Formats: sequence, C-alpha cells, structure tokens
Amino acid sequence: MYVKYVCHIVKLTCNNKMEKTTLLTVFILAIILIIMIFTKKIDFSDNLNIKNKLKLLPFWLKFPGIAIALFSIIAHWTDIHGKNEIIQLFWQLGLTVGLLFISLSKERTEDEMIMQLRLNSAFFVLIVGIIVHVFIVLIDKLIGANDFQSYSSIYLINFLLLAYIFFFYSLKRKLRK
Amino acid sequence: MKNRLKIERAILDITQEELALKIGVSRQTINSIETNRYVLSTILALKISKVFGKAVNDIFELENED
Repeated sequence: MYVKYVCHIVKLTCNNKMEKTTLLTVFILAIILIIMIFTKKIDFSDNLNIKNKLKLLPFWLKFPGIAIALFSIIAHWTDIHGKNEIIQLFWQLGLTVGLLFISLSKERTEDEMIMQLRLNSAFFVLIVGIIVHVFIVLIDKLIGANDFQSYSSIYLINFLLLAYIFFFYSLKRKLRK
Repeated sequence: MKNRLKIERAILDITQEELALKIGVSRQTINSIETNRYVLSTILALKISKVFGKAVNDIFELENED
C-alpha cells in the first residue's frame, strides 16, 4: 500500500525539472537523517539530556565569511541588471554562505551568556521573519501584483541571517557598555 | 537575585577581567552578572564560589520576586 502511495507521489511530482530537484533533495536529506539516527548522532531514546552547549564553527571562519559576503555584494554591483547568470548565482548563494559562516562561527570567548544571546536573537528573528513573510504575502495578494512568485527563498534566508547577525551583535554591543 | 560579587572582588582585589579569565568567560558576562542583567548558570556560580572560597549562598542571594 505504501509503495503504491509513494509511486503515486513520484508520478505526480516528477512532472518538471524543478520538482525533480525538490524530490531528489528530500530523498538525500531523508537518507542523511536515517544514517544519523542509526549512528546515534540523533538520539530518540529515553535518556535524553538537554545540552546547553552549541556545536559551532571555529572563530577564524568569521573572516572568510565576511570576505565571501562582501565579495558577492561587490559582484552584484558590477552586474546590477542581472545579465550574467553565473554572477547572479554567485551573488545569491555566496551571500548566504558568507552570512552562514559569520552567524555560525564562535565568538572570541564563547560562554553561556553569548549562548543565551544567540538563543534570544534567533528566536526573535524567527518570529519577526515569519511575520514579515506573512505580511509580504498578504500585501502581495491584496494588491494583486503577484510579484512574490518571482522572489526565491534565498532572499528570505538572507533576510533572516542578516537580521540574526544584526540583532546578535547589537545585543552584544549593548552589554559592552 | 542579589549578588555580592563586586564586594567579594574588592576583598580579593581582582578586576572583572582577572575573574573572567579564571572562570573562562568574557568580561562582559561578569559585568552583566554584577549589574543584574544576566542570571548565571549553576556551573558558573559554583566556579565563582570556588575562586572566592565561599559557599554559593554567601555570594548570591534569592530575592522575593524570583
């Protein structure tokens, strides 16, 4: 029964290239998840202990992150009308990778208060991101412009990452006083 | 939560920076604890009590609104 259902879904979803990509990505992620469960990287057993430490990237990765992000912004400025496809791809993905490096690397002294700041800003940005997203979709529907279809999810991710970095460092700056 | 961290530091004559180095946190964290902006974890409280050689209750005190 399940096999029949899966076959039906595949038939339904594999109509064009974009959906094939989505299906393949989900498939790969599912395999990674299964491997992680079997190697006990993710533990679903009863002896769950909540760790108050995040596994983050080393501190020095901040600098390549800043460099990649700045470089992709500069690349975007050289080709603002979006004629060169390679530069367009680099600008979107490069900015995301750079911002990820900045936000996921450790601070110089990573202690429990920094962890709390991370949690606070991440939660705040999640809520703000969802509200902004819903608002944009609503306004788009109200005006009837249907512009929103042309935005890719990369824009939302970049917005969330930028907002996270902004809130995290502004909170940290406030504490320095 | 009230704390006597500043007084205890003055008794031992160490700066925020030195205390931070001893327990492996940043100076901002010590400052935030002293000014009651951040409530520290049990582990950090025990580390601080070890540095000053006093019980945790002697340094940190529960207030009514906690």
